[in-house]
Amino acid sequence: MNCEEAEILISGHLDHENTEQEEMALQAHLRGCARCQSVLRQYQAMDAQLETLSVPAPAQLLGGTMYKVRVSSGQKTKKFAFGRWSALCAAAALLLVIGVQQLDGLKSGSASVTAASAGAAETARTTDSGNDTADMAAPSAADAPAAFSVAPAAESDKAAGADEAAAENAPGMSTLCITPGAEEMRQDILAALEQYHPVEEADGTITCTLPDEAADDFITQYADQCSAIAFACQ
Amino acid sequence: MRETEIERSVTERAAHGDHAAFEQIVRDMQQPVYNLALRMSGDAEEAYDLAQETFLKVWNSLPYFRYDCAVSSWIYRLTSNTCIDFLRKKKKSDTVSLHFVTEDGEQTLPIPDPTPGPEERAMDAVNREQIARAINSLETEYRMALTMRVLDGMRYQEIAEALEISEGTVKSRIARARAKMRAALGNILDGASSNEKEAKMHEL
Repeated sequence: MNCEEAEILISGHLDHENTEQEEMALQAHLRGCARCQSVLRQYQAMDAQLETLSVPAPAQLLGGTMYKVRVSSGQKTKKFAFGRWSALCAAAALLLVIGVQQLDGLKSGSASVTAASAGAAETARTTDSGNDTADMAAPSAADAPAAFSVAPAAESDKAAGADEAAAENAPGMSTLCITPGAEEMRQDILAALEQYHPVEEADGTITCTLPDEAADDFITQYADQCSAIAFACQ
Repeated sequence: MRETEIERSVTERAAHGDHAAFEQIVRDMQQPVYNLALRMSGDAEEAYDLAQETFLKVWNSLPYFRYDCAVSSWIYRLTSNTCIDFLRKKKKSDTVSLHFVTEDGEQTLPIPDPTPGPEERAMDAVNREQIARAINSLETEYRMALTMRVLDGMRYQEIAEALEISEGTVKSRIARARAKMRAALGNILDGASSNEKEAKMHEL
């Protein structure tokens, strides 16, 4: 065995990956080779120092990753899982609202409008994407805003506007309603959406209609800078 | 050193969208994934982004995982691929303008120095900075194999699975990496090793 071959076995020895035969051959070589004895000591010192390079993963890595996973899952749920049942959910929500109105009168009915119209907006979005189940129940979703005449004017207009925005979307388009996390992030968000002509609403939210792919990209990249992102405005 | 292998049931639950199961996988793997990303990028912020990008790929690809190797090896493979992509892009942007022309004729910009990351700079031990510099100067394949072995405590078989190479290649890459490191560090190692001379020889 020459020194070059011995160096490979010295490395294997440190990693406990040599065979018995290799270990025996290495020991025989080391007994008569001062140079390789020195190499062994140097490798041991080097490994010890290399181990000190291990840095604890940042504390926020776990939470930050899971946040993005949840955002990512939310998108999937909206597109694939929830879509199948969205028409039924919207219909159920409508029945619930009507029932609440009958029981509690005008005041309690208006409190439920937002949730129900959000479901209707989601339904409209899903219907646009061509879901069969949604198509069958589409009239109930499309009619949803009209059923909410009991809501306060501002709330009603906003909900109806959102539904219209979602309903008017061509297939493959999404309407996002974005609340920037802080004012200094607003310009970044507007710049990122510039080509899709974002609209700044009076309440500070940003509304923008853009292709599904671009919406997905935006959510992935800017979720950290937003305190809320929703499909259509509620 | 490596923790125990992730249980298959946990992997399967995560593959079916169970966030709690996936969180357990991230918790178990974040340290080795971050270590590798940090050693490959040489920068803490970039390492954070690379680790997060890797885990998002894991999440999106888990439903397609075929269980033909340990899930940890597969996650390492995704990590190494993510790092290699990153280094390719970085190399392109870093090396485009190494040569430029001035009034005095053609000049050559210095090759980017693989400076240690912020954590390493914060350390006052000179040897640690030098060792970081030495490993950062290794070619990608050597750096990756040595990091997986020494910092993450992976067996050769696991490294072979992760990098899709033979165990023999892993062994020679790690040996070559150590030889290059030793050459780069020179006298520093002589000083560090002299105190341990007697004790270490007893191991053989």
